[in-house]
Amino acid sequence: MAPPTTARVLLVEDDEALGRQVVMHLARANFDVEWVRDGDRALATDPAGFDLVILDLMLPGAYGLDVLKHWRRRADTPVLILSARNDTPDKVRALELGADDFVTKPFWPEELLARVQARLRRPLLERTGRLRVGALILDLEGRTVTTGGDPVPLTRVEFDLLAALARRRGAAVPRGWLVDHVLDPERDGTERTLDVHVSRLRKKLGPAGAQISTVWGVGYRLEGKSAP
Amino acid sequence: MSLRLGLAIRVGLAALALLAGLWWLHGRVREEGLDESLRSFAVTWMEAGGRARCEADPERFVVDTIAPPPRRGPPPPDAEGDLPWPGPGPGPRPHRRPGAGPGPGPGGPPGPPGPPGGAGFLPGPRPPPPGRVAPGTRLWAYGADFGSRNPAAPRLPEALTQPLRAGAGHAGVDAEVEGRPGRRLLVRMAWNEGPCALVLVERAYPEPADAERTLLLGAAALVVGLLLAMLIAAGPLVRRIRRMTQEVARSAREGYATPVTVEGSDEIAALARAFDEAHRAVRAQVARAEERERSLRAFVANTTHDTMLPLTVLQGHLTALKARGADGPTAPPGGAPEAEGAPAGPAASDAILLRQALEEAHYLGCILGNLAAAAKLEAGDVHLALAPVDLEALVGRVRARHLPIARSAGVTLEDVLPPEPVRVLGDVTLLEQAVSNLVHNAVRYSDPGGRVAIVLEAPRAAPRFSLRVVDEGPGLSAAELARATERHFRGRAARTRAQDGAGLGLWIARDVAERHGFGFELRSPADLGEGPPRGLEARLSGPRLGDGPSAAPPAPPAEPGRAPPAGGQ
Repeated sequence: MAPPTTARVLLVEDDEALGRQVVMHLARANFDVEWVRDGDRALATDPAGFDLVILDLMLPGAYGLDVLKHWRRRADTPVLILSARNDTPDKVRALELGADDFVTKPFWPEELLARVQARLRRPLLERTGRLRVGALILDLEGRTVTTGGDPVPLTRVEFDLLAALARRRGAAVPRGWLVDHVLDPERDGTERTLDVHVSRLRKKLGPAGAQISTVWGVGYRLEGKSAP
Repeated sequence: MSLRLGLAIRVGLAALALLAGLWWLHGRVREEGLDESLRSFAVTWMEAGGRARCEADPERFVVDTIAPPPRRGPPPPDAEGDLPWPGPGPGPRPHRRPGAGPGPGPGGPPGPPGPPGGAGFLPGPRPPPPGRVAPGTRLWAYGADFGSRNPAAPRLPEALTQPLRAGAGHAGVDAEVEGRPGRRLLVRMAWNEGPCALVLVERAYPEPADAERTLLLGAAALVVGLLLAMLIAAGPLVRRIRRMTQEVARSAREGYATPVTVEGSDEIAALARAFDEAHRAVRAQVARAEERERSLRAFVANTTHDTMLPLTVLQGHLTALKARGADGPTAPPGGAPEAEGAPAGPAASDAILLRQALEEAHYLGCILGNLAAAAKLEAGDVHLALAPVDLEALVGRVRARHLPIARSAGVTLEDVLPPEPVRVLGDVTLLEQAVSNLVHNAVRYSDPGGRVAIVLEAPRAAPRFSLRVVDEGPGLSAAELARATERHFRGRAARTRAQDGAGLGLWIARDVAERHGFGFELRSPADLGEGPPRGLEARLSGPRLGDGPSAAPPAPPAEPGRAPPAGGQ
């Protein structure tokens, strides 16, 4: 597949050591990072040129929330708030002002990276009518599935099941939700029926069926690549 | 100033004011009485023949019973006239003074009008005197122009002419009459013409009667008596207040431990009861504050202990790694090891040390998070900053937080989320700390190869959510489950490690759930039959926010310029 993205990330962080670390980890994950060290310079930076902004709230110069407010008047770039003050009103205000998520210090580099990637991944799921998950290609509007170019005939329930998993590919969906939303409640809508449908779906998908993994009795997940 | 003295002064002042008022009122009544008597005398006397006498000889007309009557003049009739005498004049007999001139009114002529014309009743064959004139009275006649034909008549002061000019029927001023205070009254006659249109009549105030004097003295005595009575009556009141003061002072000396008691049902007793209630409130407040301080001190002591342990372990690990770095070529790169992640190079034992160091650092972070949450929860009045919370994002954050440690411990940490957002009303920091504690606990007690899942569900049928954290670690027995959410509880050995925390995590989770009105339950699935229970399930459940327009999927529509990353991780 395509190499990991070279998305542009704007980091607004005044602490030298933390800033250096974040830049290093993001760069290692192949992000193109620009680092701004104070609020005033952040105000002067146009966030529209970036795919995502990581904004510390406690900054010299302008306060982080003011920077966010200023930016939100012109751009919708996702903003991830970094905060050492684990304070609810701050978070609520940040979310109200249009922040997308927050990470509280102390955090692991992987933790920050996971939040950045989760935020960048989101739009893709929402806007395409066509989903590609590993060897599977789903046309959500045409309700067709192909694997390796070959169409796979699926029943309504099986397609809905696969589509529900595909929309959240890589993430597990609770069995209860699938029973609620995919199975026909008029007929036999139990978890056991669901398991039967999944096992049939796996068989029909052939080798790609291994992409559907069971999450420990609580849910199912469609992996981007075949589970080992 | 003592209560009694203050009372005396106030009562005295009030009595003085009362007396002054009475005195003034008395003066007014006296003045008006005399005025009325003079006016009525002037009108009646003039109408009953006086006018005729006056007009017959206006140049010499004067009536004066102050000065001795001229020898030539006929004596006034002795008998009571047929004219009523309304004045308060004393003795029934005319009182004549020898050799007195006319009153020394302002502008008045210096002396009597001379022997021939003499003051007094007009002599001769004039019309008869109209009636008896009370002694001490003097009467002059004036024309409508305020001038008198009698040259001896005093000039009229402005104070008298002014009101009559303005239309009044009469006007009076204070004046000295024969050395005594009296009144001078100018009266307009009904005919209002000729030389006798106006009459000036003057007379001294009558001497106060004995009765009047007695009354005044009596009033003064009454005031003084009342004052004394009041001072004596104030005694018991003052004593009760002193008693009350002593009681309050005694209660204060005993640290407000004993009540302030003043028996009785009056206001002082009520005051004592109010004091007592205030004391009770203060005592309760102080007790609460002391309790809070005690628990805070214990909390700080425990937390210090709990943070010192992982710090010590962390320091030990770092020292060991440093020693090894000095010894061999497999030194990890410089800087904080936990920030660098486990390098591929070091020997297996180094990897273990690094992993443990990471876990301790993580544990420290969790303890500090709990410290902040507990400080919030233990405050006297917990204030939840309620706002819609996106549970999907919350679970994502919690998983991302614990994933590095779970990975390094060989524990799988999954999140299982419904595709739609689930939103609840809550305090995002506290809820996140609660869920984080559940996950931290689960990961911490899982064996390598174990699995932990965070399962968020929102059944279609009910507007509720359920968030479960399940693990496969050693479970808890029923007795342990019952105590697990107490503070400072630790599971039995299998679930406990040397540097375990204060058992604050589950307590916080339960407390946060309760404060949100959410359900919280812990159970060990008993599906494994024999042997100690395995696995723990912590479940948080409560109402979720409706799927209104604000509950739409949080992700905004995609924008151009946002580069979507291709493929998964």
